[in-house]
Amino acid sequence: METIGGLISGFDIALTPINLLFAFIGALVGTAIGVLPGLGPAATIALLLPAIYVVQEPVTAIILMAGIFYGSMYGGSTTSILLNLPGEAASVVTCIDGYKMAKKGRAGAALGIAAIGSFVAGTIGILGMTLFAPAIAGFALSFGPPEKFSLAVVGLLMAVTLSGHSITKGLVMMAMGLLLASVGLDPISGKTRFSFGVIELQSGFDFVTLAMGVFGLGEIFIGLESAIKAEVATTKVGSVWPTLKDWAESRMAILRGTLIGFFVGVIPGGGAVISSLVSYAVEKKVAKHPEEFGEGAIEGVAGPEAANNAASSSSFIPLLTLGIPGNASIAMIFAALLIKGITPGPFLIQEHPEVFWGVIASMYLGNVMLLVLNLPLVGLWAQLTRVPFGIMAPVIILFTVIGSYSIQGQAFDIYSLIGFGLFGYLLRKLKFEPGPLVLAFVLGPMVEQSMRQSLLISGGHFSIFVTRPISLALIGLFAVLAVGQAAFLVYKKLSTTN
Amino acid sequence: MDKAGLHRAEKVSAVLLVAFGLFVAFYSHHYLKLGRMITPGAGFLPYCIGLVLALLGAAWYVRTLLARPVPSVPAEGGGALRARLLPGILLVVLYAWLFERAGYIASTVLFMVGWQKLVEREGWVKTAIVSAASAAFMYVLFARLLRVFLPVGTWWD
Repeated sequence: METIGGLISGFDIALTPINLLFAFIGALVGTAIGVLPGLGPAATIALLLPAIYVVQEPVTAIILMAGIFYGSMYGGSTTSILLNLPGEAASVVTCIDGYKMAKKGRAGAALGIAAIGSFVAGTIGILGMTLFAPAIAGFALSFGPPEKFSLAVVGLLMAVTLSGHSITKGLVMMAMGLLLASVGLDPISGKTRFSFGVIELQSGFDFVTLAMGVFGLGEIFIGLESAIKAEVATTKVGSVWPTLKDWAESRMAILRGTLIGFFVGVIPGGGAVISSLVSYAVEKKVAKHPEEFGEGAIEGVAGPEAANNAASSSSFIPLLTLGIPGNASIAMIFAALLIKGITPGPFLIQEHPEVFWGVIASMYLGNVMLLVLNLPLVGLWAQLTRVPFGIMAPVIILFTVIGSYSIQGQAFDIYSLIGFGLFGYLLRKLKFEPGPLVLAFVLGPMVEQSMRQSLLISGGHFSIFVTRPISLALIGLFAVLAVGQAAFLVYKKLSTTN
Repeated sequence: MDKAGLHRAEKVSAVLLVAFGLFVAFYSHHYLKLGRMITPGAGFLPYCIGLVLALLGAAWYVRTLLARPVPSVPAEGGGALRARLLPGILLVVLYAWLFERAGYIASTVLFMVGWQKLVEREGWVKTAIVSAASAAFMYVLFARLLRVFLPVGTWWD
């Protein structure tokens, strides 16, 4: 009953004209920027983060950011299908069959099933969040500093190990993020760290500047070197309504993708990437004609698209209930909440029920908006994919420079932005995945504070992290997952050599 | 970057990471202080991170050394592409330097003109249209709609 009451009050908030308007703007602008070649959800949210300073009400600001997030996720599917250019890793598998469908003149059907699959999966995902999130938040209320420390560290380690990239490089990124978060005043002793006499550094690095530099500017620098060139399969999209045969082939794939995405999305680091890969593998396995996969099978678009959207919805669960962002995009929404003076975590539902339920209700509405918006506007999105890099790149640079300057009105932030942009460029050149850096940066203060509090409680003994049952269970869970993943990799390697 | 180039760059970066990690650990130990186990000081976490970074750098170096050597294949059009990257970065730095000094309008138009001519090598007509339109669009968006303060330029005071 409490859940239903909360959801009704959430709809009261989300249905106010201003919140509806910002959910719509978020979905529209998120899709429009997400459609631009080379810009994934993380880059899109990073570029638009300064907008939250303009919006006064915290709940409206977060509704806007959530709209941008799922709008950009959909935009990524469009570039995958029309350009064979995934805006982010989760859309890689959509390219395989989506682009082939577009090449065969079935771009409309591919985009249509992606939109409908995303809508169904997103809505079921939000329903799951509505049901489970309050219970998880209630459980997490008993967490003390040792549990918080273990949760944050285990969340970060999962993000590193499950991301599918080099674990060594992921750990380097995690350590770098924690180090960058420690720059500025130490909250306990008041001592200034790593400021080297620079006054502006005493308050530490700004998250928005870091995110825009690493994801926005870094992406542009890489684009300058690699000159993003993609062949548009077609700009004549045709009917976006799938045929009866398409429906018949896709409906179970959407359902399976939704279930996979929802459960994988809850795990930090699991998220959209793993869920879309797992969904594609499952669809290929259960298909009557697996040989059609890679040649334009509609299930190869429907399943992974449903999975990555369900995962996007369920990835909000650890954020809103435990205060743990599972991926870079969610880390930016975490930062947006902090900027607005709201700490995500188990107390959110008690202290700011209007934000908790308002955001959940707005996600139901946003999903409908996205469907209504995307099906008729699909031709426009197809045209946007043709914006030349020569115009897109300098305009994005203007966005990042003005955006970072607008935060505090100081030129130092622009120089920091350029520094982070160059850092982001180097990371991509050396095949580092910047996601764990951003996650560690936002979780850094929590990690340090809870570690120091835990040591104070335990009289300086690190054993507190393994003697408290919940903390031990979290560490055990990570160990099981890590061992499972290692065993899977060994098995995969052995079966390839045989 | 070709694979052999990446291999070399990884080795150099790993060594630099070890040096950086050791510097962080040294700085944290000497200047920030570690404190006691029961009440860790400001330098405790950075010190641990510094050591971890140095260890990870060493592991990365060993892994790179053990990796199979790859024959060098020159990257296609690498020089021409780098010819866009360098002016692009320099233009962004110049834009940042001019932003408060020359003000939003002058610095933005200059940046856009520079980008279209030096990075994209476009003709003057397209350059003029794109530069004026972008600067005007961003001005309307930020200064008028979002009410963001944009500098008028200290040079014109």
